[in-house]
Formats: sequence, C-alpha cells, structure tokens
Amino acid sequence: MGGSDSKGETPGLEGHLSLWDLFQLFFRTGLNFGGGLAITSLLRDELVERRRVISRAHFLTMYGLARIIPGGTLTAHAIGLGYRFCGFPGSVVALAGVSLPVLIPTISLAALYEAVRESQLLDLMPVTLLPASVALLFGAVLQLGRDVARPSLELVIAVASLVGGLLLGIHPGVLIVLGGVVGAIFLRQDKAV
Amino acid sequence: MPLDRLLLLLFTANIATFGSGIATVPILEQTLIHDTGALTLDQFLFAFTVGRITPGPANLYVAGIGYMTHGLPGALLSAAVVMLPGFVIIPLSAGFRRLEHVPAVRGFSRGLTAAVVGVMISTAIGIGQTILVSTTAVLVCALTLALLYRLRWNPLLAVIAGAGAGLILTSIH
Repeated sequence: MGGSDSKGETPGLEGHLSLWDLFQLFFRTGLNFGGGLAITSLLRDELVERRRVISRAHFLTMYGLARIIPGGTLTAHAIGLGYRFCGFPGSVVALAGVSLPVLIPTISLAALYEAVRESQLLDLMPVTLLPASVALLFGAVLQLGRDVARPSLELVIAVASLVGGLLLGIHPGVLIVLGGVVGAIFLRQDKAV
Repeated sequence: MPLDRLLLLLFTANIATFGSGIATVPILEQTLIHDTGALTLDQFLFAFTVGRITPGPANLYVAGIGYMTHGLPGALLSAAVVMLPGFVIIPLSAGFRRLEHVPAVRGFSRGLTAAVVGVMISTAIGIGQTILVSTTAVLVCALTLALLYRLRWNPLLAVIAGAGAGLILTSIH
C-alpha cells in the first residue's frame, strides 16, 4: 500500500496507488461539505499521513501550483496528484472522483427543478426557495465582506466596484478583473491576519 | 444562447476569476439574465443554490446552468469547460521542485475578492429587489440568513428550514 518512509525528500521512494484506489479516495474526500480547504486537508491526511504515498513537501508544492493556475484549485490539485500516481488516466480518475459528488446532485437537481417549473409548484417558489436562495447570496457577500471591511486598499476597490456597477453600469466582469489587476500590482504582500 | 457561446462564457469567467465559485456569479448573472435572457432569475438562483449546498469544487454549479439551457450534453460540457484549465498543471508540475509563491497572483486574488464584494452588493440589491416583494419572502430570507450566518447552520438545512417556513406561512393564509 504505502511506499517506504516518505518524510524525506526522496520522490523515487514514494508509494503507488492503483486507479481504483485513486478513485475511491478522491470520491470519498469529495463527499465532504467543507469546501475546497476541508477536502484538501483530508487529502493531505490520507495521502501524506495515513498512506504515506507522497511526501508532505511534494503534496504542498502541488497545492501551491494548483492555486496559481487559472481555474479551480481543487480541480487542478486533483489532476496533478492523479497524474503523479497513475499518469494521464490517473489525472482523469482523480478528477472524476472529486467531481462526481458535486455533479450528480447538481445535474439531478437541475432536472428536478425544470420539472417543477412545468408544474403548479412554480407558484410556490417566490415565497419558499427563491427568498432562501437570496439569503445564501447575502450570506456569501457577508462572508467575503468581512475581510474587506477594514480601512485598506481592498475597501477602496470594493467601494469603487460597487459604484462602478451600480451607478456607472460597468459590466461586472470588467470590474472584477480590474480589481484583480490592481491587486496584482498593489497587494502583493501577505495579509496581516 | 447557443451552446458554444455559453461554453466560451463559462470558460472565460472561470479563468478570469481563478475558478472561484462566487466571483463568477455577478458575471454570469449579468450576461445570462440581463444581457441575453438565456436564463430566468429563478433558474439562475436555483443553480447557484445547488452549488452552495453541494460539496466539492465551487465552480461546478455551472453544470446546472448548462443543463437548464442545453440539457445533459450542456451540463457535461459546462463542467468539462471549467475543469479543463486544471490540466495545465501536468506540464507545469514536471518542472517544479520547490514552488516560489507568486506574489502577483496572491495580490490578484485579493484585489479580485475585494471587487467581487463590491459588485456582489450591487447584484444582490438588484436580485433582492426582484425577489423580496412580499412579507413572506422577506421573512423567509431573514430566517434563512439568520440560520446560515448567525447560527452557522449547514446551507442545505438553512434553505430547507427557510423554504419550509415559507410554505407554512403561505398555507396559513
């Protein structure tokens, strides 16, 4: 199951996983509701601590790389890890494993909703599901906003984006990318958390 | 909206926001609902909600959007299109032993998040004005938000509780 001692920086001695192992592992961790961070921690616990098939350093390097790739971090991380164990088939299997717990419910629920829309139940939506969804939206804004609320360049960017969107009608995509570019230039240090 | 245009939109929005499940919301909301009318607001909100209550990568909620506009093939292709950029890690990882943190990327992410907050407030106000038009709706929203944000309930449970409360309130009338 595991390779030899993986605490050292000797990639050649790291262990192996079969495609099936890979799928099971990523599927199981993919079922967790904590979001990308929780899943990543679980993967680390499994791969580095429990099974000892990859060194902590190697795992984290892969994670760091996944974060700077445009596109989902968890997706890229799964692909990278899968590739490292089983080549290209491994990357696909790991990706499928971590994505199926999302995709199956997502597509099924979308199909269910389309059916609901054809029925009388649609009339109930404005007083049940839709306001609840709006609450999730507000919740997401509050969560993100907490970090931005202190006097900082980020606050300036947030206010400028709000004004740009609400009063000037600038497309959100433009504002968001612009914010990113400003941040890339002026916000390079670590956050004082 | 033709499928290829949708896929291009999803691909671009995903890349521009580094795969954030939240940052793509205002972009897609503007383009799909207001600019092109490809989706109705309730459809979009549903896809978003499903994304919040399911585990795993946050940007896969677009599979719901793909389904609603182009059926199962749309769903699968939408998912594929946001997962594709991740494969770039394969050639990149071959060359890396030690990763240098890339400060510009961290800065981009922080600036992006800040802009998303501003833009989302604008989006949320617009959506709120459309949806929260009855007392029941306001109450359901307030209850769900309280459960989610103050009591830190799981989003799925909060939505069920809120929607359930709305159902009860409606049947009382």
